[in-house]
Amino acid sequence: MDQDALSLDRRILVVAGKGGVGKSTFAAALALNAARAGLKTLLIGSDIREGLSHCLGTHKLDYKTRRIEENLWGSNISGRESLEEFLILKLKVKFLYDQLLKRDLFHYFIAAAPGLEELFILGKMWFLCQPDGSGIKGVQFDRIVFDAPATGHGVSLFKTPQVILDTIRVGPIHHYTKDVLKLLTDPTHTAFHIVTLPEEMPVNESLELDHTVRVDVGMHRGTTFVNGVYPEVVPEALVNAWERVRANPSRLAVESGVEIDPKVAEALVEGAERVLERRRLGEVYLERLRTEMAGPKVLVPYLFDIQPGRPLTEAVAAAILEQVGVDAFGLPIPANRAKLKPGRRS
Amino acid sequence: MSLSDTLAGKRVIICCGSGGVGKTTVSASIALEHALAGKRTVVCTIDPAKRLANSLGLDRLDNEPRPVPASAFAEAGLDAKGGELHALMLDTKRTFDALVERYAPSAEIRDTVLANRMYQNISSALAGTPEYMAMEKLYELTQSGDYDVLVLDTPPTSFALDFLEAPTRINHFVASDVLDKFLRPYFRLGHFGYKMVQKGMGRTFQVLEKLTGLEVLREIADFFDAFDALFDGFRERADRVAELIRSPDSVFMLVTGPRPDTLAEGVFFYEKLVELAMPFGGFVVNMVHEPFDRGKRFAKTIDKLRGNVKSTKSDGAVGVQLLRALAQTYRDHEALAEREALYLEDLRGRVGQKNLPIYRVPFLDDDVHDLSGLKQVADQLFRGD
Repeated sequence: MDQDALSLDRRILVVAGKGGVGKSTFAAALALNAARAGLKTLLIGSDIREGLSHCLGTHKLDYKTRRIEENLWGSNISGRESLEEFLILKLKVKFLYDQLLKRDLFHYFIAAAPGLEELFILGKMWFLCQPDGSGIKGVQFDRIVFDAPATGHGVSLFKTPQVILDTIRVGPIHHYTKDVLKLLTDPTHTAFHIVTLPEEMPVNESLELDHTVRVDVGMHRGTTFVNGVYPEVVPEALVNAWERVRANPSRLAVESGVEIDPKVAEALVEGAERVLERRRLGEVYLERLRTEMAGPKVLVPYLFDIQPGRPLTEAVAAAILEQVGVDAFGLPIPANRAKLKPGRRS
Repeated sequence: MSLSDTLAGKRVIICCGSGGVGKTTVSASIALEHALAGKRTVVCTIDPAKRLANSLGLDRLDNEPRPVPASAFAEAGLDAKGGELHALMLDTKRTFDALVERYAPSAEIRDTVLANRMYQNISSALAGTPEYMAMEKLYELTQSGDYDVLVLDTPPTSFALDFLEAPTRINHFVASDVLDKFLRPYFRLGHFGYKMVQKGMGRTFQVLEKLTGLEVLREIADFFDAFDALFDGFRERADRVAELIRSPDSVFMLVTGPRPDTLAEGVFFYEKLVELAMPFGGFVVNMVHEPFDRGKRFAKTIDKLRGNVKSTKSDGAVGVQLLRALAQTYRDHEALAEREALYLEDLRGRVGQKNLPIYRVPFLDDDVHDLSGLKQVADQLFRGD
């Protein structure tokens, strides 16, 4: 596969998609693969009902970045906490900041100026890319995998910086937003990956999301991951035999030379027909993705008998790795590339 | 208890739950079932698949209810027996605008609010607003008197239950305290004057102004100022909405899927409903993989068969490969069905309510994309009646 098109080697990997498509599992799987490729990786989410720890089978994640295993760290952030972190840095004096936070007015302000919290969720990633931004001594993250909120909310999240720039035209927040937007729209730094299912609504939403992200936000699109692709029940070589058996299930005994109760044969054929039907339905939507969505697609099969949580994440990670290869995850960030040129500060 | 019994006499049916579980389909099916029972029914959806709109015989859905044409019923071989099915798709901003228009005491105030950028942000982009407007639309529809039964499909976000608190939330924005005590004096006196009056607060403004510029503060002040006039109307309306959804005429159905993550969200929603003392009707678990249902002995036979196949010498024979593939597919499916059954048992345990109503809809062999598909789902939901 074209490694540059896959864009799994960028420093910030955004993983987005409709709710219920397995987005968090894929984000965790990508983070695992990156960590195992020797890259210092941070997996980051921003959901009040944090689910990434379940995907990795680890302790609950919160705002503080914590080590999960070798080369892998995790956190779950909120815009409010990130904003507070920013203010402490900006206001320098802790006393001033305490004064501000104590005020109801300040909280009304945050609530009434929509987008501020969202901005600071994205801003956290900018912050993490700064020298010493990881908050962990001696650690510089090579990869930041961001499990973005489900589409709907996710789309407005990535549109936020532009909205803020239009609203707030001067001051530190304006410049900060510019920096955040610059990082997110830098194709060498950030790639936007989409997870979907071969079903109508997820495919519709993915196509819309793809358009919004590329055209309205101006971000670089990477890979489209299609989860839950029904397996091919009958491989090409078996099609003729299958057609004979399908027409007359009792032929299964003759074809295989194994003694089979005709009722069992019938059930086997019926079961296969059902799965085939689902596959045929999915094929329609896969075809839509192939024709209407640019960029590489990685298909992950429907995993029937795998325990959700860590085992499922491992299986997805293995399925992805098998298709893209370990080199797709790229190399560590050289120390001198880690420094982003800071924008104008006031 | 069958779903018919659960929903008997209910006028407002609110379907909530996480995204990606077919909530819209379930909502539309419940509405269809009521229409087929002769009721005038409306389903308010959030973001339906285009095919669903088409399947209802509608080119598109918008903020006003559209009747599903008789031809769509006839095509599906259904008889509405005088019942009606209407559908609409919620437009958050339009609903909010309509609300402003209703409560603005003058055309001038109305225009000021509608043109204010803070208002525009809040009415279209703010988390929680779609939920609030869904409730508002619901209330508007009940007040029209045009419908016997209303089914509401709520937004599938992590804020999905915020709508229950949304009326209070909007009150926070317009809490006239903030306006009178802080913002108005600030702009009246200028920040030097203000500093004289209220030292600490002046500093807060200074910091905010430094961070964002004066323009933003002024716009917020304008917003609060204009909105002040609408406040009483909004609060009164919010109270009536809250009363409606808590009344015995209303019921909440929790739609979820048979997977641990969606079920966990279901439990989260359930606890929230209980906490807020909302009338709870039960869980709908959509897209359940039902076992092929030929009994345990049958599964053993298949396993034995797979064992036999494994030890067969003529490994490369096409027929053997086919048998192996079919047996594998069968077992994969059964394993999935067994796993899902365990998850549902777990749900009962976690909710800790004996006789917890759980209505299952099996994974259908075809996508639901027309009225007969919706009827199929309804038949499963209301089975056993």
